[in-house]
Amino acid sequence: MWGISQAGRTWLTALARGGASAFGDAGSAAPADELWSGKLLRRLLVLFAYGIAFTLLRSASSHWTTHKLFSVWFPAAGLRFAFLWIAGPRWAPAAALAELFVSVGAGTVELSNDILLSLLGIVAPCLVYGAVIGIVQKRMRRHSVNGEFDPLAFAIAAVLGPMAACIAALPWALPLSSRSGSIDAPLLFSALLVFTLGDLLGILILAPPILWLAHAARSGRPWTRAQQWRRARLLELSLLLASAWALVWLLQRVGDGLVLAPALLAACWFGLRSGRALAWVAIVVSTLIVLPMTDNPVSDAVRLQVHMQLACLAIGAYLAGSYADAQARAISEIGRRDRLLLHAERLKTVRAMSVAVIHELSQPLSTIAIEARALVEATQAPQPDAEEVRSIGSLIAVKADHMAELIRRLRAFGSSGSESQTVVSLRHLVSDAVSLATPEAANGQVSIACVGGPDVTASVHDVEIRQAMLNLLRNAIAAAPKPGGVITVGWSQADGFVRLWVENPVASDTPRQRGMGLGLIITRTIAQAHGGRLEVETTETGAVRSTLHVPIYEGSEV
Amino acid sequence: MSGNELVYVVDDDQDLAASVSRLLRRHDLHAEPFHDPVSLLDAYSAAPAACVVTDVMMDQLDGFEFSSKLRAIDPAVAIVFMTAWPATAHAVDAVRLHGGVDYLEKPIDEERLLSSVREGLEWSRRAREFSTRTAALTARERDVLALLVQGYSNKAIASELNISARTVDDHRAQISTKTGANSLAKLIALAALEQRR
Repeated sequence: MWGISQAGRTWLTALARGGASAFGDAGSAAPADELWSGKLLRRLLVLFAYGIAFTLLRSASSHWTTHKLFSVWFPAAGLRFAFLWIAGPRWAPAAALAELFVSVGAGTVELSNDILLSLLGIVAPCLVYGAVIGIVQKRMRRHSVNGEFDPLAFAIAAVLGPMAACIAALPWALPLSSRSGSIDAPLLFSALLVFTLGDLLGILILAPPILWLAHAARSGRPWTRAQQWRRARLLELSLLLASAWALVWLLQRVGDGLVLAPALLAACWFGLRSGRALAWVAIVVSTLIVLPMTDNPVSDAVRLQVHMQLACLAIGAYLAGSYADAQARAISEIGRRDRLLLHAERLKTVRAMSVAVIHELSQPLSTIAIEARALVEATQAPQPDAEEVRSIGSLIAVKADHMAELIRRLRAFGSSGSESQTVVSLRHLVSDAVSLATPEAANGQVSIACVGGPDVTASVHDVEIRQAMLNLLRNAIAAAPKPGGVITVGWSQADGFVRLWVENPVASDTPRQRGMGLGLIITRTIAQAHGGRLEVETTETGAVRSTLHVPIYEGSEV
Repeated sequence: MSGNELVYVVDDDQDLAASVSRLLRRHDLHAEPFHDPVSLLDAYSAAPAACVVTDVMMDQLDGFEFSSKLRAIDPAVAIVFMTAWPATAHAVDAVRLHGGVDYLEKPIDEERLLSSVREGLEWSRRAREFSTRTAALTARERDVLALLVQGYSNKAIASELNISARTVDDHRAQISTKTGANSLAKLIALAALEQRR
């Protein structure tokens, strides 16, 4: 009933399927006919809306048109870029057709004598953008983390796209400009430059917010990133931008023309300090200041020169911001992997302790087994002794509690741990670590003495500090003289730091055990992740003392 | 049958030592718990036992070392080891090197514990009988006895120990008088008391 040939129908179905992933409802194994009725219609509507928005933006930019051909600030390119980035490069042909039909239908584009060249002029940039985005996304997908793109990928595509489109424009711009018979080379090249600048500015100003909105709509967390900005940082940056523009104004008053260099440096600083979002704000502010200055009365040459500076500002700031974001992400990724590593190490420790733990569990289990049988016998007696039954029952309960407590400690230790810090009592933390290490110490015939002191509370990653302490304790057990070595553990607090220390005498013939080195590295990593440090020293008595320094509240993170 | 022979249960887990003792007592054995092997060694001479059930892994004193020290005080005490951390090497050592009656894994198999303790008591009784009967023997007479029960002739013993055949005869006579075993068969039966270490 649609009156389309089978081939066309197949192509449209493929389009509906292909685009599906871009709009977040991929993977449905719906039959082709259902795709036809609902989804394709929706996609056609989306394309239509895109075409209308594109045409509107295009008309809006005609204000700054140079050479009757291109505009020095072309927001429509930003919309196109964002659309293709979200929907995927395979939508490029469809988007190009939508642009064409709506523009022509609305009469905003005059098809000149050479229809083919004009059509190509409208369709080609869109296809080139699709290709650039496709290449960049494909390359970056290989290096992507958790399916999220590197922030730099977008920045690179945004800068490369207009340039590629400009180069691709040569074949059809050449005949258009030579219509009068001879090629006006300077005019042609300045036209292409304008084309590139307009697209660059359009993309860098319009595409990021569209992408953020799309991302926020999809993830449901609109402004998580915004909350991270600190007030002091915002004040610093606003003052910087204001003084930069004051300098620009001063230079203009002195008579050096409109020189944007100070603003460029300020915008780059924005990006480096705060990432893409604030870099974008700096770009928008700069653009809003510059655009009125380059309105129609200004000569083409001045306008071109100023917009070139503006484009440099935008590229510099956005690349700097993307770089800062990429770095921040890499740092947080390293932090995440550190957590995984620490978790794996904890599991390894649990495994290494398993023999001692089996001993620790068999002891109460033996008692429980014997007493349970005794209980059965006691109750089978002609006159059960209530007192005996009660005492046996309570002994069993005590032993079962002991086992449950050990299992709880092991489970808590083997857990992946929380991302955030909690306020813990050091006395509790140390005694927990000591009780985890005690079976192993007993097995090695050394003992652990806890040197008390006033309890200290600190904000730390509970399980990780426990892990660090257990590592130190296990090292101490391995190094202490056997039998009869005494390991001392304690804590104290000074200068905003808590100190957790483990001290052990050293046996003269301590064999270098496997894993000792790694334990220390892990402990040091944990200390550093808390903004603290690990110190290992030999005391006057020849004992080894390992001290973990951790800030009480990790606001002082460096 | 062996009602009032003493059994000590040693484990640094006080509750477990007490539980095992109660278990043995329920089966008409006279058992006492100890959680400190060192204090048991100090008190042992005053009240020697027939059998000691001991843990292997203990804070103060390793179970094997404890058994060696105990043997030095009383060679005729039977020892049963129990452990929460069984290892083949330990099991072999426990029986061959330290003369343990058995090597039990925790949680403990009650039947096996009981039969091991009873076997230990029986062995201890025989070992004590042997030692009382051979107590009067001189060192040289013991050497002669050891060779005799292995089937050596007087002549072979004489050349082995580098003494004359007559002297061997004298020693044999002394052995028979002191132990009351007046035939080779009885001597062999006597020597058999000492086996099972």
